[in-house]
Amino acid sequence: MLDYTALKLIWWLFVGVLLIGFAIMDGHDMGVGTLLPFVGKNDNERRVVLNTVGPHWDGNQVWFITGGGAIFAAWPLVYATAFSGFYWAMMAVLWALFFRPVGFDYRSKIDNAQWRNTWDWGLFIGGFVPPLIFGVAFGNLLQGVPFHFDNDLRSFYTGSFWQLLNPFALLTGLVSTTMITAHGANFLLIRTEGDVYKRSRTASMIFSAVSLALFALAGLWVMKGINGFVLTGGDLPDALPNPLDKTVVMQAGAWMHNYSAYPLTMLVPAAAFVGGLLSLVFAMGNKPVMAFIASSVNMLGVIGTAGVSMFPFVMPSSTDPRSSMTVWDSVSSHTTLELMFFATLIFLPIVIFYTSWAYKVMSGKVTLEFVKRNDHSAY
Amino acid sequence: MISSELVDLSRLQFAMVALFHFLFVPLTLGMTFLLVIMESTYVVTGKQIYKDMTQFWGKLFGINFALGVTTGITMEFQFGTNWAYYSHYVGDIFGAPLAIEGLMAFFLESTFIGLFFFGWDKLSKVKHLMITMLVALGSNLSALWILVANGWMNNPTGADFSYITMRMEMTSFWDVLFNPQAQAKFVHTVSAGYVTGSAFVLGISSWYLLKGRDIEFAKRSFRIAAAFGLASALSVIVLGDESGYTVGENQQTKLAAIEAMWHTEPAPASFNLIAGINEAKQENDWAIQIPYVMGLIGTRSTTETIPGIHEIKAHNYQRILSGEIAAKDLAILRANPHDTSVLGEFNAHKADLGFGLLLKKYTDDVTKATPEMVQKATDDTVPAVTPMFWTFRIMVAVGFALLLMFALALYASVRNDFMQKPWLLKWAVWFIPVPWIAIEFGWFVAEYGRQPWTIFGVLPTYLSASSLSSASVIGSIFGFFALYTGLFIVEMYLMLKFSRQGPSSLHTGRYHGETAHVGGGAMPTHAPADKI
Amino acid sequence: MWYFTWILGVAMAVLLAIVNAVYGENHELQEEAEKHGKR
Ligand code: HDD
Ligand code: HEM
Ligand code: HEM
Repeated sequence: MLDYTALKLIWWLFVGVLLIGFAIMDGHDMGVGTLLPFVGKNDNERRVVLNTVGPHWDGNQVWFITGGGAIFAAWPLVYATAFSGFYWAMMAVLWALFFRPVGFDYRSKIDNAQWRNTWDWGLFIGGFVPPLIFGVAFGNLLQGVPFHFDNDLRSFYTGSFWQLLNPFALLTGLVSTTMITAHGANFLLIRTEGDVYKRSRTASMIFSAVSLALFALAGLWVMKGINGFVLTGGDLPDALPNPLDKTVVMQAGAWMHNYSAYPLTMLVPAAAFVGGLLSLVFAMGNKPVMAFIASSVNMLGVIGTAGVSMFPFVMPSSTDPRSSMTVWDSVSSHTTLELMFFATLIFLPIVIFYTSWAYKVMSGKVTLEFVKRNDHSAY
Repeated sequence: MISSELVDLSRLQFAMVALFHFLFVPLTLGMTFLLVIMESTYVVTGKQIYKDMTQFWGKLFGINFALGVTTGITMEFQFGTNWAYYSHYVGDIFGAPLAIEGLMAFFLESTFIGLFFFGWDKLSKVKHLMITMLVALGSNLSALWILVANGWMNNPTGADFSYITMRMEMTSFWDVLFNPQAQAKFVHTVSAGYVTGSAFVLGISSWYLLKGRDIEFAKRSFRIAAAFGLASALSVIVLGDESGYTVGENQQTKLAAIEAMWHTEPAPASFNLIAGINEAKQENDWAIQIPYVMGLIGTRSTTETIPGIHEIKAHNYQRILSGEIAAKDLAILRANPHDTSVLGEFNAHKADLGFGLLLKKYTDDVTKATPEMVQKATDDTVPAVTPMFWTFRIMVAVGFALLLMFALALYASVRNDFMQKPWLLKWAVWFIPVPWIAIEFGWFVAEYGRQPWTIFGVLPTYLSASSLSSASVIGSIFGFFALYTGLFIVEMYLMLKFSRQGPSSLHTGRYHGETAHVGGGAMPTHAPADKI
Repeated sequence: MWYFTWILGVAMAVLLAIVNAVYGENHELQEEAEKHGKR
């Protein structure tokens, strides 16, 4: 039996792992979708781009679905409050995602320029919008979200949709889109050649550089311009979860506390910078696989930074700080956390194993000859 | 107070997107196994035509699968976006199967589906067959986990309420997984999917046969669909009976509504084949009855009685009064968790807490509930009888019609004379859409019949919804409606286009209408493809 | 144990369908032979 506190911590890590897994796996095909209309200048080039992720996008998307499911199982209160509070943002993500399965699958089934072009832009939306909104969501989490619970733990969101689109959140939204686009470009470096490769290389370098700059800017903003949250009482790590049983205050610069208390955590933002820089260097030096690994490290760093800065908070409330949700008080019961811990421990390695195998089977460059030869079977 | 309008809109949206998702799910469930059968036959016999079959039917499957995935993502988010209080209240139990579904089933299904379509040249015959099997396994495991979750909503075992966390918490995962209602539901629902897939392949093949094109291809597809369809149709009916039995055990209100049983009858009760239901008088004006049958189906005995609606309501009235006490004590405990003076009383009435919560629809403070309110809440506990009664009967009728069709088809396939039976082929063509009617009605029976609960006996639907504005939900309903309509049109267009084209859409040069492309055009339209 | 029944049941149904397909091939051979015989 693992004790409750340990499980709560482990689940914070697991949610992080799933989000980072989502960014690395689904992120690269979303990046590819975003770049599709730009790096593919004609139909055959676009088909090359599509077929680089053709066999994998669906499996990758499950990182996203499982991330949602895991939050539901491990942090039900967060799942409930965040998804209903960010209602229109969630709808936008959902509707943007609609274009992916059908875009991939239907686009090349009909030989008509208009039809194909329409789906290409659909795939662009499906690749561009979700990372943007996730970034915006993180920006809002860092600032605190206007919601509270009543005594029966029913949540009420009191803000508006437009309020989510504030300057800081738009900045984090751009950090997220640019890093994912750079990552997608790196994937295209691995799987393409010729003109598509050249354009992707340029895109990779530009987006890596922009993403790094914006990340640094966001960091400064968090340091100087944003109120963090501090737990001042209640909320014992091993207690039964009850978010109303604590006191919380807002404080400028509080999101930096963890770094000064535990200096080792500085490694996380450092990873973001190092990964981003290396991605730039490797793309420039034509080392696709290394660049892909570097951008993965960059995303690990960026997402990890948000998590570490806020720990133990998950979704702080700006209007009723007491209602803020933390790693200790918005989680499932001991039984469920333990069950899900073992389920994840068993299945995640298996998933990673067969996903790697699938990539190995389909490895190699996708060429113009290939798409011409497989006119009726490939995307 | 939560607005009833909001709750109704949330229900409307859920019903809409769920019923839409389930247009695509059953075909996926059925087609994956049919593909396994076709490809296995290819591996066993080595005949190219079975590979062509796997690829052609796989193409149609792919078109359907894309929308299954698209609409499935909606389902995953619905609980958080529109049923937030529900997600909080039961997420501890309900979230687990959903997460396991992702880890265990969706990853499997979705990773290997890529290899199914793209791996033909990269994998050996046997390896590719294994991939196809894993896709089938994955899609069925996904059905398993989601139906475990749904089964738990209908029969919430293995869980207990905690007043400190203000939610249901899991006490036994084993009970949740092996819940009898989940088991019956799972096998009934996946079998319904197999039936749908078989009827689809049988119908389209019959159409080719009637047109006299791609005969060799269609005959072989017909035989496979006939055999698999018959086995599945049998399973649907047997497990439908089992579903009815588990419903009788755990959800008496649902069973009573399905059967329009207003009064408890002496055992064994008779079965209303059809009836003139009078909701206003709470009576049947007339009925055609089969003696004993209801008692046998519902209780598997000749001595146990099945309670009628009036008797159930009388019982529920008492449970609401008891639940009122639990709800009152809960409010005290929420205000001060350390005030244990009411704990004993609360625990004594805890089992009826859900019934007490039914009163929240009529008053915020349940202690102020009037006898009229209690009566209204009692009346709510039984869903409307007329729609339940008829949708159920249509599902069952379809079940038997399909059984007969597959039985005749298999018989004809064994005798090898189906080419001489155009009436049977026509029947099969007309029956392509029919399984969907049964399936959508089946879900209606199961879900509407659960009302007024989302978690039967535990959490009223009324309390489950998110605190959104009605305008938001109306907006999203319009959004879903517009997008789903568009997607549906595109899907149907592609489906019809490729079904009409038939196996010639593979461009192998072996099929109907392709002779012009093949050197000299000497090949007859129904060239025996297996010889090439 | 309906889960267990399901595992056996699908396996049987799949086998049944494969057997029916192979048996159908038999018919095809016969038909083929008859055609050639008549010629
Ligand atoms: C009986 C089976 C069944 C039922 C009741 C449901 N589904 Fe479903 N779902 C499937 C059977 C299925 C499937 C057969 O596995 C699908 C359908 C077509 C497909 O592509 O996979 C699928 C796809 C699918 C996907 C996309 C998976 C992927 O990318 O591969 C998600 C996220 C969901 N579903 C989620 C849900 C949720 C949250 C449901 C309940 C409210 C639900 N489904 C009801
Ligand atoms: C895909 C197959 C399904 C279909 C076609 C379906 C159909 C429906 C319908 C018609 C309703 C509306 C009932 C009413 O309000 O009168 C409903 C409600 C609901 N269903 Fe399902 N359902 C499906 C699967 C599920 C599953 C698997 C779950 C949970 C795991 C689920 C959970 C709910 C919930 C939470 C509601 C809303 C509350 C309610 O109205 O009861 N449904 N569903
Ligand atoms: C003799 C035939 C049948 C009987 C006795 C029967 C019985 C039932 C019962 C009692 C339910 C409600 C279960 C619940 O509320 O938990 C149900 C649901 C359902 N039925 Fe049927 N059914 C039959 C045929 C069919 C056919 C032919 C199909 C589709 C091809 C079908 C598809 C469904 C589906 C999808 C559900 C909802 C899921 C579930 O609750 O299992 N049924 N059926």
